Amino acid sequence: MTATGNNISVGTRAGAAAAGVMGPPTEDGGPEREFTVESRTQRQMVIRRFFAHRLAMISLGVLILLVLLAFVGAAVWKHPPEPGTVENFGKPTLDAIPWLDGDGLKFGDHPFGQDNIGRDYLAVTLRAAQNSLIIALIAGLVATAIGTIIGGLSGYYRGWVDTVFMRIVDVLFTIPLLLVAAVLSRRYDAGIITLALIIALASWLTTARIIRAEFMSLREKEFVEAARALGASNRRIMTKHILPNVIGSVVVTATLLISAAILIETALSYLGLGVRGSDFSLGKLVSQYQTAFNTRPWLFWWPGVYIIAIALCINFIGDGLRDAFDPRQNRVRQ
Amino acid sequence: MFFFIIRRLLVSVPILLAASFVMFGMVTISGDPLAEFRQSTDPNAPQTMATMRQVLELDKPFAERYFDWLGGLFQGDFGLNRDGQEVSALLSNAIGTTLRLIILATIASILLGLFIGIVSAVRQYSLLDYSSTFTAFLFFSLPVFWVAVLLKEFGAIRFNDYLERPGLSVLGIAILTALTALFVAALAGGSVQRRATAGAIAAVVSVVALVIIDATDWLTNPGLSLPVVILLSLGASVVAAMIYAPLSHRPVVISAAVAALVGVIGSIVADSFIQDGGFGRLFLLLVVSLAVGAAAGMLLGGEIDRRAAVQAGMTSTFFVGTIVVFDRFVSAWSPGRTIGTVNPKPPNLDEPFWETMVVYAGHQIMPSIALALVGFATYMRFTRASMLETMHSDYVRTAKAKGLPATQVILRHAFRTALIPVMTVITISFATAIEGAVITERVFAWNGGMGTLFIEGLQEVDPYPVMGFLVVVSISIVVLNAVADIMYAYLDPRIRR
Repeated sequence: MTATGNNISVGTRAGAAAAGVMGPPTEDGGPEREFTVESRTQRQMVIRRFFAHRLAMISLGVLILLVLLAFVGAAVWKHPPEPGTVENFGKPTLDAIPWLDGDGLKFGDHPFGQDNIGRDYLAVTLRAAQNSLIIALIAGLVATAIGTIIGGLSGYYRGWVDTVFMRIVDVLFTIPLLLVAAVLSRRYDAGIITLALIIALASWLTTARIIRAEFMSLREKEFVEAARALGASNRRIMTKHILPNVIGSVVVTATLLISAAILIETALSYLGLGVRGSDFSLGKLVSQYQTAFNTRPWLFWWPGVYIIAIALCINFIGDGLRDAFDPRQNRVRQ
Repeated sequence: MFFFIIRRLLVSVPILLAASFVMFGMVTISGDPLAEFRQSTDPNAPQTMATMRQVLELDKPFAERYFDWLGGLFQGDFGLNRDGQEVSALLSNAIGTTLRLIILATIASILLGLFIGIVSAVRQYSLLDYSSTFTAFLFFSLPVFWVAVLLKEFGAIRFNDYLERPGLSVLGIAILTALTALFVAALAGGSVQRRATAGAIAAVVSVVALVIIDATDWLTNPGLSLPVVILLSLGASVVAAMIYAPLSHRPVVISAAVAALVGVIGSIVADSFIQDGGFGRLFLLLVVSLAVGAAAGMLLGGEIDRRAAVQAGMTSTFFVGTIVVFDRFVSAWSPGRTIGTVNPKPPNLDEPFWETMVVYAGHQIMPSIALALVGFATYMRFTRASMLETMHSDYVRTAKAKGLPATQVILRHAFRTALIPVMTVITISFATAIEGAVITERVFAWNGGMGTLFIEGLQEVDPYPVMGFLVVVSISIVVLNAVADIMYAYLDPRIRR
């Protein structure tokens, strides 16, 4: 994550080489087995630690499943999200608890039920999930990019660049996200991409602060000085020398921003500032059907559970990544 | 330190001015304030539009309106809303309503978050740790309004139905007892035998308490009787003593226990005084009880333990005060009262102090829970991370090595340091809680709160109520940051200069 992480990986490699040289030879001439420490790059260690994080791996699996369901599942599902005839009061036909009534697992014609105008609710939910996922992904990535660039520039150049950028950040911090989103989404008729960009615009501030702090401490390190002495340009130092050391924070904040963006989108949709028109989003579905809780509870449950599942998975993955990038974790799983 | 805080406050002035300028601009450009008249077929529409134009000062340039507003602000004038009402009057009502919501939610989430955070750090990788971590992540991932619907349904409507014919089934008692036993066992930690003993004791206490609750129909007519108050107070006094000194220091325990008993006797003597209620009286009682605790510590603390005894005595009487207040509070509950789902308070409320409090609490509890979830998760995670770091540091090992009991090490050595980063999070998230309250208020239809001002102002393109909201939020952010600095200095002697 930081230079410490870098040093440790270098240290392991040097230690392994030393062990290889100094280990007493065995009968067949090779070094003794106990002393051959396989050296790993920092990236290998991070990936290894991440794969060893059970909860994060389960979450990753579930998230991939949810994404596939939203995109591939919606494409192959027999019903489009369009009005039709309501069958059996639109009750869900999914029977996921086979051991209760003993007639086994079955999906039926409308597993998630139908809404009041006969739309197949599975198709509606999946369509909404697509939109929510696209919004969250774009918002998270754009916010991370803006935050990293602004934070990196002001941390690296310091001086007036830093002052200007950080004052801007300070000012924006005082402005509630809801106001920014409300004003922009009202002014620019919010399609999905616009909405994502609005959320991004309102949520890059924390990332900028974190990345700035890391750039500030890293630019004083010896390896940056060495690179500068070798004649590397500022651009090269930033992208090739400092950025790889910051990538841990970038990835972790990106995951947190994505999961936050899902919730922000739902909140905006709830306040009537999110996805408009005839299109769906998970937040819009929940806010639309919250009064249906007593009459058609499935209209309320499915989108809510989908939101929570996505956000929970991303949060767990973020936690696993944080642990994986943390150099202090070295002692446990080498 | 004083000058440091003054400097911090001065630096934030230009930032606030810039932010207010940007926000004023954003609200004014966000839409057309006269939209409803443009669509209108009413023949008077052009005339009404002209009047509105004048009232809203739409003909003036934007900058002039901003500086007019700013100038008025320094004289305490927040401007008028569309309907010609004073924003300052609306705002002072709204702040009261919203603060009531936020403060309760924040205090609850801080207390619970810090406690669970400490426990799950101390018992790292236990079942308790895993389940509380999972809960925290779940709370992070919940949309507030989705939870709100569930809370209204299960926490209020169905719970009210249940209260009409309450009672505990054997299965209910078994489940509650099992949960309590598991929690206490995880809390106790240590060897299997130790955990099993703690769990068994907790199970017995829980079964007895639940059976008594069921038998006496406590849920319809709650309240603590005198013996229970005395028992709880003595228990609280031992806990208070444990915070400040090992239990082997008898003078501390004795002064805490004596202070608690004096507190209980005092509460019986002052019975009618407490029953009449009022916040001024409660504050007076708080001061008196702290003085009693301090006096007990001074008199009984002896030479060596005086300081710890005074602190323990004051904490002990504080606990007793809390127990007595809780007793009065739940006693005021009577059958027929319900948990509210909408509105900050019922209309035409005219009841004695404690009954009023119960009614308020009934309306407040569900929104407070909805608002407290995220805060609880944040504080719990931060406390846990911060505690883990300090628990592994050298000075904590030293404290353990010199034979201090675990409570002392955890609370006085590790936790005090761990609290420093947590303080920042708490102060910052208190400010964001005002923003979070915007949605919570809307879900629970708390009309007249800060959230209503903000959202309705935005919808009607009415800048002054929105700006009033933003002024309160920004000032509270600045003030809370200063508070965080002061807390730093208190908690971390290295910062004091």
